[in-house]
Amino acid sequence: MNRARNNTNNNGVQGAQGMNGARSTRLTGTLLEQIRALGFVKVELELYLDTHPNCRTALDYYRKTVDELERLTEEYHNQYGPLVASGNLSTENWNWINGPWPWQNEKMNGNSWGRE
Amino acid sequence: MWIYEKKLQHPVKIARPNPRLAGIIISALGGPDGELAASMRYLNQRYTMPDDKVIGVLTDIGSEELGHMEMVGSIVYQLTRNLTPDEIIAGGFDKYYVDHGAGIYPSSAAGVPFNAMAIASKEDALASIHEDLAAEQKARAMYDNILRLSDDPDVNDAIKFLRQREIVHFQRFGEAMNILRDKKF
Repeated sequence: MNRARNNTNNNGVQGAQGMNGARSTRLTGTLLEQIRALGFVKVELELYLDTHPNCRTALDYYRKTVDELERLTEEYHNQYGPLVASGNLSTENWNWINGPWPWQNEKMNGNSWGRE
Repeated sequence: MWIYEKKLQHPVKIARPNPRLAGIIISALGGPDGELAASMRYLNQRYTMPDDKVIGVLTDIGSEELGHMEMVGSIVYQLTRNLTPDEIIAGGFDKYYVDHGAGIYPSSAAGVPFNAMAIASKEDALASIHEDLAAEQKARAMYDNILRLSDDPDVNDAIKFLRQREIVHFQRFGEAMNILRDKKF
């Protein structure tokens, strides 16, 4: 993943650079921003592992990423609602359909609303 | 089979509607080098690929492109909120609007509906992989063009992310091509 420094200015991800140096990702921002950043690292590692399936460093980094992402996602589900349909089944109603949906995030006229 | 995550891969938060830009950026959704074309290429090419690694790459990049398609749809959606007829006409958006309103329809900026003739999917693995390398460069060039035509920082933030992903995908397909060549396909 020598060219992965492409992603250093994405959503507060720091440290997800070359395989020689990276072991984990430092996160900043809101819970959703952290989930988004880790989700990005996850996708990057998946693509890398597809062509480097025997790279132990990448695999370890991937496992750590997935563990942390699961932890943060569960926290998000409990506080805000599901990111996947089965994410939060403790509520009385089927809140999967509740807005805002990801594209409903306008900050028009100075108003900012939505989860994003 | 696909799972949907209720978030955008990179946020789209556009403060100012702009129908002119919407009419241009629609190409990144339904144009020949847009995200729908990319996902259809990769997801359809993978069935007959002769190597697991290459199937993995096409599956995972094809899936990511669906997420990018969602981002572009979100950009066009936010750029076309609450437009007055004057704004629609001034933005040259009237020809799209008459058939679709502010709905999202996969077509190019020139009004050509999405067409699978823009993509290639062949059993010949090397042919398909070369198509994919070219596709990523074409998409990157399209995003370069959009950046030249846009002065909106919110839009440009999302476009730059999408452009950067095309560059990374190009590298992955380069690796896939080497894998196929080593196996002498």
